[in-house]
Amino acid sequence: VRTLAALPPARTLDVACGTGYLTQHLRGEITGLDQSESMIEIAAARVPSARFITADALPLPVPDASFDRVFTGHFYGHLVEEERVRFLSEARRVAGELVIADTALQPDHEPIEWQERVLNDGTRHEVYKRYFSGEMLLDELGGGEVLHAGPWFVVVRS
Amino acid sequence: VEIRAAASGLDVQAVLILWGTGRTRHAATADTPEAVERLLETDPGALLVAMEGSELVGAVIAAFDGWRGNFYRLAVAPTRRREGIGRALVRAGEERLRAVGARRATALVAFEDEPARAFWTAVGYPSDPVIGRHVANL
Repeated sequence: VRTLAALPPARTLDVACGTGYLTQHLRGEITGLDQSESMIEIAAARVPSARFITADALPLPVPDASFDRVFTGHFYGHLVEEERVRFLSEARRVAGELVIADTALQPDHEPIEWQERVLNDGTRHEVYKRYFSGEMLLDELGGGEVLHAGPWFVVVRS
Repeated sequence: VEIRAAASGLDVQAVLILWGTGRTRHAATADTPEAVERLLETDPGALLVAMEGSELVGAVIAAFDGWRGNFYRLAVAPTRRREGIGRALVRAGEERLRAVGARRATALVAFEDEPARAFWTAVGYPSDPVIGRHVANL
């Protein structure tokens, strides 16, 4: 959270913002999108200074170069290879800078897992989930810098 | 849902995303931040947004060129259709156009876009059987 709040203010697109938990710490002109209307409702109540809209992330329904920064928290690690490559090219198209926050590698987890998750409504979902070191992320992004590498989270900028 | 004039910057970014999610294939001009900011400069108040708090749920251009009113780019978030947001945007646009002196308004609708034709007919804009458009790119 401190790492995100320390980023210079920028026109930022927060992709898959969820309930806006991380969105609220970003500075600058913030636009959040998520495919879930109910997530967006919560985020919009939490961060009145931003703008929110319900939309899919692939492809990003956003004009070329219309943001300074794309931010995404705990989304990148759920993308399977083909989506991951597509997301990176979409992020590059939309903004010059990409900041990714995701889950750090942990001793009791494999770097790539399929996890079963049970939602509040009782439905079960298979979820693709990856764990990262800063270096792994930078490799995939083709360079950049590690902003934070703690026991739980990594944040990189590229 | 509150309808108000869009402001430069954040509102424009969000409107572009909304249009990106629902762009008709009949739209002929590019949607860019520069184009929308220019609209706000030349005709402040022409771009109306429907907001639920800080969530954008709809938008329309109700432009006045000094002679007539023109509606463009009406859009409602896919998850928020069939709630009357589009109709409310048109009514707010009419109010705005009347206030700046327009007495007649037009909506551009593709002949084969049946849902849009049905919508505009239902909100009081029947298809004009007498006058059509002659157009050129500049």
